[in-house]
Formats: sequence, structure tokens, C-alpha cells
Amino acid sequence: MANGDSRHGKTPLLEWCAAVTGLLLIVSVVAVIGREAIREQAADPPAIAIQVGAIGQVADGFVVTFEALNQANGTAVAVEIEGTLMSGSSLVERSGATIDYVPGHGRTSGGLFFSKDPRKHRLVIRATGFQDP
Amino acid sequence: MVALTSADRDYALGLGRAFGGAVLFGLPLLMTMEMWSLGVTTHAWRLLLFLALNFWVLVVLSRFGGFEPTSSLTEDLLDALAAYAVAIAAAACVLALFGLIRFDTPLNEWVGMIAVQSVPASFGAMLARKQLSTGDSRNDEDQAARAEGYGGQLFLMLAGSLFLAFNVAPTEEVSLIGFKMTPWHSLALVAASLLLLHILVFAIGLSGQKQRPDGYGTGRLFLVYSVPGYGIALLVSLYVLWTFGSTDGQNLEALVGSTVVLGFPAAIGAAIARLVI
Repeated sequence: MANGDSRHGKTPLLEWCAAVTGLLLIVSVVAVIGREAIREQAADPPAIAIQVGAIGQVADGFVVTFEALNQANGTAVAVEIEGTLMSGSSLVERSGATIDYVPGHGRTSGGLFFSKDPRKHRLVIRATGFQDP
Repeated sequence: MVALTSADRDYALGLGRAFGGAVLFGLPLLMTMEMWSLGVTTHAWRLLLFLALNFWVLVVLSRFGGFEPTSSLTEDLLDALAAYAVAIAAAACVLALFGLIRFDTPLNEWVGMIAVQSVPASFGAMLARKQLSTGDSRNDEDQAARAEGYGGQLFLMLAGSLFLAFNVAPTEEVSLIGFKMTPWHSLALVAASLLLLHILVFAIGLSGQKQRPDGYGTGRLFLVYSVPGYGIALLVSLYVLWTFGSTDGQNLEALVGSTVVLGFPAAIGAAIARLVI
């Protein structure tokens, strides 16, 4: 006779544990999704804010790392990021990157390469476009 | 030249079947673009943990239906190692044939590629005996008996979920589907996954359908097998998503959404594992 089978009527402890654990997991998942469903928020257009990170030196120039934060709950796909180095009001250099997606209230990191030193100029990084999923 | 004993010959045939199984189970992922870079883009520690867990799953699978009948833990360990070796060989052969690994490929790139591809292939290598053999059933009853216990059934669901989740997770689609679904879609998917998991194993009449243990009504069957089974599928999905970095930077709702999406194939995998093994 295989191990673990219950005799008539008596439930093994493992079955109780497994059933309860499974129920807890499923109920939690349903609760999170249910709460989201009931709130019925229409997906707001994404709002991407850029947080500039470290600036480092690489082979041909410099790299600026950044984090793209989505402050709304709509997901942004194919987000175009543009970084410009300005000297006064004249454009010194421009670089771009594409982020595959930034989830609603989520963050994705990336970087931009420049040939001129970003620390010596005014650096502006912003998101310029996105696509709906 | 040393003549092969009959036992050696049987083992060699087992290895041959294992190679076939490895190629069969590994091929979809071997031909998936995202897997080729997964070896280097995944966090190294997460990948190592995943490989270690996979090895443990292989050892336990060997108790339940590996590529040759085993009768001790040592044999299971050896079989798991052999399955791994066969899987690595199969993955390396196919990747080399496709020109994805060449003589000038950097070391960590091809090691990572093969390591990651050997996971699904190793499942195939391990299960090859059950599926591809001509039915030499001397020790089959032992292995079947081990698998029938409640713990064994839970483990099989874990292994099945792991396999299907791993097959689906490396690509972008899991997250994208999660983004496209509304919360109501997700709730419906939870219900559908649970239902399918139960029906596939107990109700439709597929070969391998489980008998109800004595005294178990449908409700109890559902609560004791299908509910934990889906719980396992969800946990496995979450773990696989974490391993591949798909959970980084996501908020709770997106995380749960992706987990439920991946939980659907994982639940089917859990059901299939119980039917097939």
C-alpha cells in the first residue's frame, strides 16, 4: 500500500497543510486582483519621470545611467528616452534609448552614452514617447 | 576490447533514450531567441539556485520514473547526474549545429547558454524511460507505488508546473499578456486554471486518470489535490518569473497579473505530470 493514503475517515496532516496553504495562496491572489477590479480605475496614460543615476566613463566617452519611473497606473511600452547636453541654450549633444516597457507604478533602468562629459554641461533626460501595450 | 555486460548494454540503451528525450523536451527552448541570452542576462546567483533546484527535482523524479529503474538514493543521484550530462551534451550538440555556439564564442556566454538549456533537456532525459521505452516493467510497480502517495502527487505537480512554466517564461509575452488583461480577465483565468487542473486529472477520462481514494467526495478531492496543485503552480510561476528577472521593478498588481498568466500553463503542466508519470 502506498504511503500517505488516508484510511477511511482519517485525514493525514499533510493533506490539511497542503489544502490550507493552497487556499491561502489562491485567496490572496484573488483578493489582490479583486481589489484592482473593484477600484475600476481606467488606465491613466503613463507618466514617466526620469531619475538620473551614476555617470561613468567608458571606452569612447561617458555613460549616464537612469531609472524611468512610471507614476501613473497605465503601462508604457516602447518608451523613447532622449538625453540632451546643453551649454547655455545651445545643444551640445543628443542621445537616445528605447525602454521595452515600464509597468504602471513600476520602474525600469537604462543608460545613455555621450561622447562629451555630461558633468560639464547641463544634462536633461526625458521620455519623449510611448506606445500602449 | 572489453565485452559489454548485459547490464551495461541496458544502461547504454537507457542513455540513448535519454538523449532522445533530452532533444525532444529541449528543442522548443533551444530554438527560442530569449533563451540564448538568458545565460548571461540572468543574475548569476538566481541562475545557480535554479540549477541546484533543478538537480534536486531530477533526483526525486528518478525515484518516480526515471530513465532506468532505481532502487536506492545513490542510484537516483547517479541517474540525475547522468541525465544532466546527457542534457548538456544534447544542448551543446544542437546549439553547435545551429551555429549559435562557435569556437570564438566567449566562455561565459556559451557556458551560460548550455547551462540554461540543459534544464528543460534534463527533464526530457530523465523521463525518457517512462515515455520512450518498450515497457520493460520489472521495477515499474515500485516506482508507480512511490508516486501514488500524496506527497508524491504533490511533487509531480511541482515538477510538471516547473517544466511548463520554464518553457513559457523566458519570453516577453507573459508580462505583455498580463498588461493586456483586465483584472476581470485575471479572475476568470484563475477560475479556469483551477477548473482545468481538476477536470484534466479527475473527470475527462484521459488515460492515466486517477482513481478517487476511498471515501473522497468531489469536494474533498478538489480541496486536497487541485487547490494545493494550483497553489504550487502559482508559487512555481512566481519563482520562475523572479529567476528570469521579470518581477524586478513591478508593482504588486502587475506581479500578480504575470503570475496568474504563467500559472495557467503551470497548472496544465501539473495536471499533465500526474497523468503522464
